[in-house]
Amino acid sequence: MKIRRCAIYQFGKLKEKDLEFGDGITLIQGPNESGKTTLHTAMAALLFGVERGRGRAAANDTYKSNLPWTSPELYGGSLDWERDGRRIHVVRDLAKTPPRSYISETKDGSTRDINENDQPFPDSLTPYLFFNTLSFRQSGGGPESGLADELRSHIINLQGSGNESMDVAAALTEIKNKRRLLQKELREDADQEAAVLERELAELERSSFAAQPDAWNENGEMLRRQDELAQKLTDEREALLKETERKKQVLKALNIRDREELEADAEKVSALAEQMQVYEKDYEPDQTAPGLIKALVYLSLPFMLLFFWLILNGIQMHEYGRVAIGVIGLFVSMLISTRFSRKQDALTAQQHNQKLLMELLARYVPDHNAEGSVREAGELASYMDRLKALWTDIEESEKTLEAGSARLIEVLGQRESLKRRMDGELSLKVRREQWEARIRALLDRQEQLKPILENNARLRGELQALDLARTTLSTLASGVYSDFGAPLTEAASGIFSEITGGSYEGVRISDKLEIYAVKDHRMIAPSALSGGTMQQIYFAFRMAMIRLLWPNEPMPLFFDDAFVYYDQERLEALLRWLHKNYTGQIFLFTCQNREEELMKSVHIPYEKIEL
Amino acid sequence: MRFIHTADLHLGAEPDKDKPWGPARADAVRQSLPRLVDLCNEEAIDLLLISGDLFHRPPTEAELKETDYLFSKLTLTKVILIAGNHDFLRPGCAMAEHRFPENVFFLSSPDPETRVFPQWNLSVTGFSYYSEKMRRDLASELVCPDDGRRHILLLHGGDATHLPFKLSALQELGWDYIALGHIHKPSISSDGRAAMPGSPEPLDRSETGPHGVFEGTLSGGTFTITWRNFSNFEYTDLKINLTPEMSFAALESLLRKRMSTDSGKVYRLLLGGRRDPAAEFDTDALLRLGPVSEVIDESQPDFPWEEWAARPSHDILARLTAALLPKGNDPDAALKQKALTYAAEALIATVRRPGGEVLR
Repeated sequence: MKIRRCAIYQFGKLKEKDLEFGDGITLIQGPNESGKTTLHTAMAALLFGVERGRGRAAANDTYKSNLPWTSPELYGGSLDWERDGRRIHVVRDLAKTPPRSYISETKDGSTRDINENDQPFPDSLTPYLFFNTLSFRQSGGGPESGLADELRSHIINLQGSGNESMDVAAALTEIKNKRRLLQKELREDADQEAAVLERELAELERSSFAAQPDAWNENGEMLRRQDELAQKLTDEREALLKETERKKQVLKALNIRDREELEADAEKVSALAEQMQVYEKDYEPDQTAPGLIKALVYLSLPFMLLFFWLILNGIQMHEYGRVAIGVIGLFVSMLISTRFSRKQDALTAQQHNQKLLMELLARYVPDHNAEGSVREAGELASYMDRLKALWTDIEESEKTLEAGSARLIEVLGQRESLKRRMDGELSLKVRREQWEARIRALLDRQEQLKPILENNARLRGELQALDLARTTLSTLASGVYSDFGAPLTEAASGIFSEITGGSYEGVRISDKLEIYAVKDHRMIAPSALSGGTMQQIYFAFRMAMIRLLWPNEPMPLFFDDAFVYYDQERLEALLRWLHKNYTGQIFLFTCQNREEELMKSVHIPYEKIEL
Repeated sequence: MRFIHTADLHLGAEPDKDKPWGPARADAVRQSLPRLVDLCNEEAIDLLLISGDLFHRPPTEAELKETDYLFSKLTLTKVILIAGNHDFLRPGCAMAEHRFPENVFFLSSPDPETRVFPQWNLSVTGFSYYSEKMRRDLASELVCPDDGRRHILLLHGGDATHLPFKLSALQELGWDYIALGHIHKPSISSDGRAAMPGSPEPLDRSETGPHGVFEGTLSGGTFTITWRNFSNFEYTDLKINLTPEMSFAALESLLRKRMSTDSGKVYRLLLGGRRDPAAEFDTDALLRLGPVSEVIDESQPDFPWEEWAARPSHDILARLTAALLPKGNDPDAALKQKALTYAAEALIATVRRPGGEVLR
């Protein structure tokens, strides 16, 4: 296959170019931004056609990124290529939607229009394989470690005489990324929480809170009765205490502190009242003035003496009449004296009693206005009796109070123990309520978790599908490799050895599709190889693929600033190798002139186009 | 004698809590009992049968106080109630200890218990749940008595972990009417003598279709029931079959047209068919399109599987379809189809790169 001519109407920054190409090396030289890569892209676009992308992918596709800023209506060009003696002229009008192509074939001097699919393309030449084999770009710049991965995925992606241009490695990466996103969505914490909830619910359901509500109610009734009784006892006690206190106050007001004194005084009053009553009965009607009685008592003595003298005198004189008168007189005056002295005694006693009465009245009825009469003595006596009874009452009450207290303490004690028992049951009831609240909370939480768990289950299904997709794809890809990889590696080994001037024996590819260089029968890992060497391995694999894909036909090669990272020595070795071993067209796009100088110096023929 | 048979009111449930229509749903659930009470009063209903799950959770005393108030507003109606798996009882729990108003008969025993209504020559039997799950063979315990009366059985359950029973087996036990509860979708036995009214309000987005109660009469010794819509709200499935020609914007516009703006409906979108593999279908955006509770996307990208499978065997797509395209009745068909779709999508995505330039 040979590219013969490329005419550009408008394509990206290029316009109105008409270039013809020879059989060997064509050096296309121009400074940066002169349109070398655009030309390279345009040639592929004209060869394969360009589709207008749709959706997201359209943003930076070939079509859009090369749309001319000026005169877009001229977007397009033509390409002439040859194969098996057929010359194909392709005109692509990219300004139309969809882009239009006019393809004609010149054979044996006659020209006819043909369909896109009737072009005599070499087997397997797809845009994908074009860009991944024939077209070398400035590749793997920067850290060379990336190149090994790139090469590896490249090998994975090779598919025999593949009809499709798919990147299995990129697809695997996409699946991996998708998996990571879904994995992130997965709420494993919710699964754990649900399991814990389930366990706790089961435990809670097993625990029993069958408190005896009936007993609790009975106890409640009993407690109420106890409370009533305690209240009644307390009320009684308080009433009695109050009454007793009042009584005590009475005694206290009278300053009565000693019961014996009170009883003695009561006895005194009682005797006093009696005496005075007797006196009243005996003497009160007699209205004799006390003075007279006194006078009579005092006067009776001289009369007695007189009469006694009369008796003595009468005996002496034997005047018995006198004696008799004396005796009678003595007797009468003695009688009078006795009679009145008794009365006087009684009077004295009465006066004494009255005085005593007044004293006692003053003691027990401080604000009295009594005169000391018998009646008053009687009243005092009964008053004293009442006081005595009051005292007895107080003593009785205190005894009652003491017994009441004991009963109250007993009732309160019973109530306390009942209350304690009920508090225990109450706390059981409270705990049961808490238990129920906990169950309700757990059930609520379980309900909240339900949609999350459902989503987790769905995600797990998706993850499982993604895993299956990934393992299937990578198994298929390594299957592809085992069909294709061994001859590829063998061919690449040879080329690698040649372009390194024999300093390496070749390359090996491990089961894990890792690439090793072989030097002195040792496998050298890519990490231990220099960037330049990796570039050489990369080139060797590319060339090996080209040989395997088109073993009988020299295909055009495109090097688009592909040797930037090659040093002088390596570049020379490579150009020499190409010149010696490759019979197809070679398009060298470059912005430097070291390729030209090198080729000149080693006498490699070339044609030159300046952009 | 006229009666209403309901179940699964789930008072306290808050369906779709995080959705814009969530508060309205919670209100509707809360209002279902007062609305039922009004209905009973307006229609002079004699008996209200509640076949379990009156409450969404074992109720608190406060919640019972609320329902007591509502029940006490019933002028004529007597209520028969059992506890289901959601409001299951515990010895000594609030509901077990609770004294319902006099017109409410709570069959709170774990074993069948019967309440006789001589005025209607009727007996009603039922029992309550004492755990979240119940598995027991009740057929032997649930034989209908033969005492010349008519008999109603209240029964809550019907799935694998809640009294698994077969309607046909229940029919043979001889009950005149079996008032079922637990499953939230209405159903009725072949002979019409056992019925599941479902929940009067839908409680989950999967509970599509109308929700209501059964209204029945017992006259001349025969039960007849009729369906009565109760909920003013409906969860609806909307199935759209995609075609490869359909863009996402076209789908959105179609959905806008198909979804009514009527506030009483919430949609579950089921996408099927074959979609354009290149088009971007943002199912999250569909959730914001209107009252959409969920989008279930079962559509497949329109890949020509058969064509791929027929390609030369070295082609990665041929190999892929050969490995994963489900054939016959593969038990892993769904998983394989999904994996195939993922792998194909990932591969096709790499083709769409500009110029097929894989190496940068």
